[in-house]
Amino acid sequence: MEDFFLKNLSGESGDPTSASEKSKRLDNDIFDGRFPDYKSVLGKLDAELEARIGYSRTGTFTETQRDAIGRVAEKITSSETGNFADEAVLSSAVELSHFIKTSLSLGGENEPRETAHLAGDLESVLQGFGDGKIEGEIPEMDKEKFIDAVALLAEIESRLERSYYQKNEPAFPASEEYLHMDVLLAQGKVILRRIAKANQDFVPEGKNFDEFLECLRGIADLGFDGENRSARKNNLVLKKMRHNPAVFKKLTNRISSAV
Amino acid sequence: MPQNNSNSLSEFVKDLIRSRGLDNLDYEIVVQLKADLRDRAESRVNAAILANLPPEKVEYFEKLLDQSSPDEVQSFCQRNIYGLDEIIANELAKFRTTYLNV
Repeated sequence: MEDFFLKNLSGESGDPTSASEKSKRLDNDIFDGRFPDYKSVLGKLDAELEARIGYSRTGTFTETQRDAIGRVAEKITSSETGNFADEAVLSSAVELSHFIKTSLSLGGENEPRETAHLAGDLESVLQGFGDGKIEGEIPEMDKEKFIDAVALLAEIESRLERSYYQKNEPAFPASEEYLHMDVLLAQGKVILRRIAKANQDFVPEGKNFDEFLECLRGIADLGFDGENRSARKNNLVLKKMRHNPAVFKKLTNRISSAV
Repeated sequence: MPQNNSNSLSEFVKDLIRSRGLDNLDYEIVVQLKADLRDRAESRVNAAILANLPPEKVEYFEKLLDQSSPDEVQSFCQRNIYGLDEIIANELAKFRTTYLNV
């Protein structure tokens, strides 16, 4: 199994056209209502992921992104079973699939425009659920659309945070867009959290909506760890700071009252 | 300067939302908006703290984050970052300016 991933990460295989078709089938198999019955699709996953990972090596990804894919692939192959026969491994496969799926459509040269474009995508997915229609309703949404929306949320949040770390500016230029995106993200979370609560098979077993979002957020962050060692190191430390909020809470709270 | 007001950052964020006229949205959305904004303000402060930490201290700082208590980490930052309070205050002020576009 390990050889299989290493071979494909090294670019020895990967037919983009074929991979694209197989990727669609992978999405269907995993996300189209059959995720809880994952054992029924285990046999297909090897080939589908092989195609997708192979495609990732054909030039669309940066070296850092390929490293990130390799780390997740290693997580999969180093499991006790070494295949997709347990849920933890499958969960990694789903994460990997999402990471590749979202990364394939993105470049990096025009960050504000790309982030605004992603926000537009999210707005489309959420269309009909917003503008004061939250109270008392549990919107209906199919599972694939739900997963897409959560992945978009994760991607946008990752970009926003990175923009603060690296550029100290929002990832989009106009203030009104900033405001609109903040509301969109908050509204999206409220809606998707409700949907997840009403459809517990929409998120991996043992996870709630916020944990699932955080999981996809971690995968999105993997793609943006920077190209040099120093930047990667700083991003790692910043992630640890983010996951230790108690450390700085007292300090920030004390000072914010005086700003 | 008030000491140890546990709600200060929440109040800071609440004030931003009120200033932008967003506090009349659905309650649940406002609650989420506040949480998101608080997270982003904290991220900005974290980035400023790290940017002002001497580079040779970063490795040790990372170990502290893994192994030490919050008080020890805070104490380390205060010992090793000159003008820490002003740096944090400045970042929060910039955050407010960006958000309010003033």
